[in-house]
Amino acid sequence: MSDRMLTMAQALREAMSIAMDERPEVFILGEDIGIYGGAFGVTGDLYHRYGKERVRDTPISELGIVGAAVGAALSGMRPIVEIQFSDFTAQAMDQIVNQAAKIHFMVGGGLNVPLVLRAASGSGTGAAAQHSQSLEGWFANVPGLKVVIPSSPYEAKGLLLSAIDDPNPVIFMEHKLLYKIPGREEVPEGGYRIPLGVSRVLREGKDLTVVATGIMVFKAIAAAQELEKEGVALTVIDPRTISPLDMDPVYESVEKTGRLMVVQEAPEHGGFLNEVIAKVATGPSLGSLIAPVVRLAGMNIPIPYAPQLEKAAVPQVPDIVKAARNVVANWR
Amino acid sequence: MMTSALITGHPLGSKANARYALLTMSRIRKFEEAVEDLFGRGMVHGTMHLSIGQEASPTGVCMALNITDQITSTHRGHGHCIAKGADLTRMVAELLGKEIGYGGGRGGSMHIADVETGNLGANGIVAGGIPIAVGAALASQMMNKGTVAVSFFGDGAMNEGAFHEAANLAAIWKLPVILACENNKYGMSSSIELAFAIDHLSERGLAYGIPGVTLDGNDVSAVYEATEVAVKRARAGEGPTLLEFVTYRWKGHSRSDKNLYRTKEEIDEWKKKDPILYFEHVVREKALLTDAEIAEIHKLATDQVIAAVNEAMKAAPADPAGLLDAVFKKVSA
Amino acid sequence: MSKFDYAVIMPKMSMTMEEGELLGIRVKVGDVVKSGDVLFDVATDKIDMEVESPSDGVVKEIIGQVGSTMPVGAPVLMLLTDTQVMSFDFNSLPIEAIVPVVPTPGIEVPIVVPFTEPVVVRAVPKARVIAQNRGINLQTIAATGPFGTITYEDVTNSQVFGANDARKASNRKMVAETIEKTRGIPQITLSRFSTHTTASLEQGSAHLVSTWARILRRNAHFNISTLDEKAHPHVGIALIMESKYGLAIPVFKDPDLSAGTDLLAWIQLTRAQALHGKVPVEMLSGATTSIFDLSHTKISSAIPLLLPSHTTALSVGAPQAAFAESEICLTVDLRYCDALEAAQLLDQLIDAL
Repeated sequence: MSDRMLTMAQALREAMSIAMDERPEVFILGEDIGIYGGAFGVTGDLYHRYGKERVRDTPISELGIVGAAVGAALSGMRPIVEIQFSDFTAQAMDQIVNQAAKIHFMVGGGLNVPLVLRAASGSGTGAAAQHSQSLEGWFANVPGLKVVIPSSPYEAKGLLLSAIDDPNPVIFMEHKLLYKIPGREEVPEGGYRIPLGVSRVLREGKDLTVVATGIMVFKAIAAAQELEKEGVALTVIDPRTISPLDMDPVYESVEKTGRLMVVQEAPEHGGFLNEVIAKVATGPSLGSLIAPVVRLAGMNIPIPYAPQLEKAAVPQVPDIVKAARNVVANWR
Repeated sequence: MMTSALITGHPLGSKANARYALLTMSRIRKFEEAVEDLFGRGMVHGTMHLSIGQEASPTGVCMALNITDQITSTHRGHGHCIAKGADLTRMVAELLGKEIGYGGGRGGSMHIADVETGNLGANGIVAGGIPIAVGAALASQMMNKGTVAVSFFGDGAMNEGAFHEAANLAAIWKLPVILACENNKYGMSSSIELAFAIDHLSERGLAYGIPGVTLDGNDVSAVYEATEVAVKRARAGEGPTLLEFVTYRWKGHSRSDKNLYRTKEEIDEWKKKDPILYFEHVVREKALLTDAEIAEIHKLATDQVIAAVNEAMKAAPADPAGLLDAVFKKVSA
Repeated sequence: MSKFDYAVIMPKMSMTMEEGELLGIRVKVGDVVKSGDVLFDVATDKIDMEVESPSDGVVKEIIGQVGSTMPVGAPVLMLLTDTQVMSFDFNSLPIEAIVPVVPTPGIEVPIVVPFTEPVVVRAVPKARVIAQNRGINLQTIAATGPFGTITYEDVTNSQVFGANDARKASNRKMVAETIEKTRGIPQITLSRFSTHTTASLEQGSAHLVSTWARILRRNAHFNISTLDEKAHPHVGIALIMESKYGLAIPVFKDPDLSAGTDLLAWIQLTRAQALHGKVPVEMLSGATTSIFDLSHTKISSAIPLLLPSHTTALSVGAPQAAFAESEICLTVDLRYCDALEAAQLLDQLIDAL
């Protein structure tokens, strides 16, 4: 295995290191990101390399640190806030939703907030209902925020560098199970950028278009590999950013396959990928559909604790395989 | 803890400074009266919050700042904006929903910001601007800018978590920030007696290791002097200061306020402590300004406000065509 | 002392208030009032409010009628005030000084394919689209899908002959008979690769159509009608395109004389009209040559077929990604030109492209 098969935690750290080398105004702040190295080890040794000013440990004070980041971003800095668990953004919601997202618009464009808020998201670690949510849909429903969901180390590094370059607030949702999994492709050295708002078609197949985000991209590809053996061919599309959302590859693919499936870990009710379905239903490729749209999402429940309950609460690879097989067999 | 004006040898003891202080307070008063009239005629959409009676604190604080120093303001923010040097025409235009308004009609009364004068914006969320001012001070410290950030907020904001989190961060990082509480005695209808169990709100500084001072917020000289001390501390790297300016709003919280929670006698009592009349009295006593000069200053402020209203009225209304492009700043190539 | 005229108006007191009822007036003409004294009482949809004097002064005139409902901004009484009160009566402004708000059109909503079948028919969207294009009544199709839904294959596999299928068949027959007539003509087809540069199918078509027209205008002996053996005064290019009823052959007359953007819009409009089966009648005649553009397919080249009375025909293949080139073929009627002249003509065209 090549030494560039990094984990997502390593790739994110590399991106932040490159950004701090490139721009003196970039700094990181958050809880336990200094000597401790971050609750999930993402900041790692950055504290020792860049010092306590630029890798700034904060008190447990989410509203305060996001607000301070907003003020610093308004005044020439480019802060990266790490929120230990995305669930804690609820503590900082005023600064994210009422301040960061709206300032540029409300004041007529004279001010802008180049802020990145990284947050560990998703279930699978047994941390239960207050440490396991997938809240990207909240932020996607707030105009003024960009929302990024990396699905692999390669994507994470390139997207984070673009997020740091961006003059607007960017919410960066990192699935905690992906931190330690090596990616499916090498992570290039140096500061490559992946533009925000460009979907990626990861594989093409004629039978079904699957749109998935975050860890569900990983699961959808595993499902596609399994189905390939039975002759069912899946197209897998990772939007990478859900705000802005690049729908063109989805329309193009649905025109070819005539079938659409969306997969997300967040609860189904009001979930973001419903937006993808709505856009297909109101967009140019509706007339190509030969099957009802299939929706796989988390159950409409808080994430439970026990491992078997936790697993049952969100879509797994066999669920994707089964649903894909059925829709292709039943609708021709 | 109330201090009084020490005009002799005071920076406001110069004719020019006294004139500037009176002109600024008069401009705020006339502006508020003008927009109240426009609102009464149905020409201002939404609602607004007037600061008549509170003109001394924004004036005194901003006179102690440089143009590069930053402020965050509140829903009752017209005075802060004017004192920091904003253009009256663009302010009126924003309230009238005009394209030339500070926010192009997208923000209205509660969201006026002015980059050129270091005003990071009024805020519709109580205490919303406090952590932002702390962040601006953090940027100043990290970039060695030597600038100070002032957060204006009301008494009500001191019971929001944002105040406490922001004050603590400012203290532990010794940030060049001034927490300027304009205690006008009511958070909408809740009196400070209902909302606090302490005598002076400045006592809360103690909990965070921040010096706190309570002042007569209707005495522009006292406000100026206290702010100067706090600015010096901030620029010297000694950290934040909490200033409590005791004042009073003459008008209701917003336009639909019936003043059920306070008496006419109380309002009348505070009208006697009019910050403008008080300052006029002081400068007359000290022979800094003559009656004719005082009248001339008010005339100038009145004319400026009338001109601003007339110009703003003629401006083109805000255009919905640009709305979708206004949400994000363009990513430069 | 009292020296400023000031009208105390029916004030707007809430976000929604448009008018108020004057409940009572507490002062009379000649009364001396202090700032903050209550002048009159008002009732609105939400609240009752007291309206206070904004300044010290004297009551000059009472205008409002107690018990009446007055619009926001209407004067209730006049004061003579000691200090100038901020007051702006823009009713005296010339109308044109106040620019009206111009409503802008809403955001465009993507057009959804209209469903014309009765709602009781269950069918997947693509089955509906195909049925509509072919003029098939979905009620005549047997459903095999889940929930009694007509599937895509139910329509494509069915032997039902749609109303448009019939028109398509007769159209096809007509085209075949036309081509039949030129089969015996001595002809030659030449081809050459051309670098592909244009972005969209329409842009490519527009560029080709206008360039080909310009070349033919310059080489008038190729723009001859075989019926009367005379040069045509116009260049008319028949652009073969898809229609609801099979192939449509609308004619673009003198396309090189219209501006590039106009021609592009003309071609786009015609293509949309053709898809709906409606080409303007004036575009059905007057062709002197034809173009068969296959650049939106994967076909690399097709031999162009001469239409009756034409001396030339052109076809364009799909660009081959590996070479960024597409193949252009030219067929000519050898009774009116020789093969070498044809080769020079094709060279001229491709060099001009």
